[in-house]
Amino acid sequence: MTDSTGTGEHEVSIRAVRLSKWYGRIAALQDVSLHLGPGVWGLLGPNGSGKTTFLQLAAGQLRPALGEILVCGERPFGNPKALRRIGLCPEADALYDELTGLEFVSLMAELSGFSKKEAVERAASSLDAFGLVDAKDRRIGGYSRGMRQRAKLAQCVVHDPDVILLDEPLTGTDPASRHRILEEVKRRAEAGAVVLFSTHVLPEIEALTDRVLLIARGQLVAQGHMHEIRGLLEEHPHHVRVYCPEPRKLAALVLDVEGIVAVSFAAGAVELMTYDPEATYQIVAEKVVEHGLEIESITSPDANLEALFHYLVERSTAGAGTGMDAGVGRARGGSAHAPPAAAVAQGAAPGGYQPQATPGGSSS
Amino acid sequence: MSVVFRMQLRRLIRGRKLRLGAVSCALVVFAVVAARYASERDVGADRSIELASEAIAEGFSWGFFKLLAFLLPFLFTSAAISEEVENRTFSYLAARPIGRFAIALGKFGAGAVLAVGLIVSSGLVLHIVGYATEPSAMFEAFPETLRTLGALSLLTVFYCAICMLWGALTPDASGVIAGMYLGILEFCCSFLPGYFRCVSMNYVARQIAGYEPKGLLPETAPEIAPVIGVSVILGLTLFVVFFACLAVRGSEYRFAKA
Repeated sequence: MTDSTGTGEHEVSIRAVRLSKWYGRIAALQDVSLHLGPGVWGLLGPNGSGKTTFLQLAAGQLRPALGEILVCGERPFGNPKALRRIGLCPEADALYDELTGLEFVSLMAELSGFSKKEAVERAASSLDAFGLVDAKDRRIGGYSRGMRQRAKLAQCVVHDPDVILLDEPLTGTDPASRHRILEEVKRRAEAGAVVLFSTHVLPEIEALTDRVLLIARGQLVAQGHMHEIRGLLEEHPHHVRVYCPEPRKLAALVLDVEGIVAVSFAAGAVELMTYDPEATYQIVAEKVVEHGLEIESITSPDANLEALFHYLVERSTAGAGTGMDAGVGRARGGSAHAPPAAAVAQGAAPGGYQPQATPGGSSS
Repeated sequence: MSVVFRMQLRRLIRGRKLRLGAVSCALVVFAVVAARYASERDVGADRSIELASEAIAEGFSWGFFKLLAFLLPFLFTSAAISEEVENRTFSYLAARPIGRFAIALGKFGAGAVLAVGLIVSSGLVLHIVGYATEPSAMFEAFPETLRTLGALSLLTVFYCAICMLWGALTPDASGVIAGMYLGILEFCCSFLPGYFRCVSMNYVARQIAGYEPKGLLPETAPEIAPVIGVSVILGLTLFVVFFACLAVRGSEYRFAKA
């Protein structure tokens, strides 16, 4: 593995500067700037948020429409020097079913410049690391979903890349495989590689790293440590939806309750916006009993990561027109419930809400 | 490039396409041989040789020039790139430091080698079985068969390049466009009168092989010297392969759809 301590062309890093990518009229990625140094980085975002596009740009499969992406100081598209240092595990469950596991991984090693003999040795070792050594001579077409996933990971690291790009690598894996994969990823990150691990499942990242990037609607909406992301989850306003025959009556009763910041109506339900959903459940229950009302159900449609993305994107949209960084569309902490200073959404913000996504400021 | 070549060759050999190609070749050879021996009933030795020669010439003309020379390149190269893009396996190759020219050349080479290999081996089988009852004629006619197989090989490589180019340019519809190109410009135009049929390399290859022109107003079709024919097909092949490589090199192939 290449030394990662220095800067310049040998630096092990991923750097994006105002990176944008469009597919026709659809903006897949907008104005993303970041700098990632060695270690594991979680790339979190809902489906269709631009995670795969970012990884494909970093892997040299796509060309940026605007801005620049540098991997170890080099533009990756069509650049063998950069590609030699990149390992990509794509999201799609696509493999060469006609080949055996060993053939596939050794051919990939040969394509990375190793001799046939060395490639076979590396392939065997890589397959062993992911627990596929017993199945190495079987055709990939006969592999289970988890085995296919591990074969993809084995080819990704067979040439000891400095930058490892993993697009939802745990899909379809059983707990034992998952543990093995996470251990191998950690080991490589500790050896000095940059590992960018994309997923939309928060616990997958939590098992691996504390450093995450949140991407939504093609924008990098936040970057920080996992506990800060958890904090954001707790701090953003939740929706509590109460289905009942008399929603207006219930709304009138809870309107002046502390902690409930907004009330709206949906079909057959009243929707309460609150910063403390647990207390709200309690209060609603008390009011219902006290006034003899009936309720059908109480739900909280957004108590998950998806809701956090939605919240951050809404904030970024709201901030885009203020003039501070209009046109860039970055998230900012302008509300009374701004995230803590360390949990960072991109862009300048009041209340000590400082960005960490600036190049060089977040890598190590 | 050799790694991509080996990889593609291995995949083709293990896949269904090779079996389909081999079955097509066997059917063509069987049909020609059956026709040749069905027509031979109580005829003298001279007539028998004449019948064999005619049957084999017609077999090459229709079974090889007009069928297998189109089918095999289409099978082995038209989907070489598009299949990988569609199956999303192209990203494994594109993420490796080999250069996209090498990817395109390796895939083209594997398809062309397999197509030419099948054509030549089938042609040799046809020659041997067709002249099986006349061993002396078998040796006498061998140079002519070799010339025909040489022209067929050249034509097959050119068609592989054409299929590769359309596959690289339009991966979403490579089969349809390559098929239309071969059907209209190569097959249909080879029957046109006058110089129009020079558009078709099929006609040029048949001229190299020494076949008489057929189709519409055959007497108006120009004669093409073998040296010129070989040069034209080779030059065009190199030109088309170069453009196919350029297409693969520059395209993103929509790896990640929005």
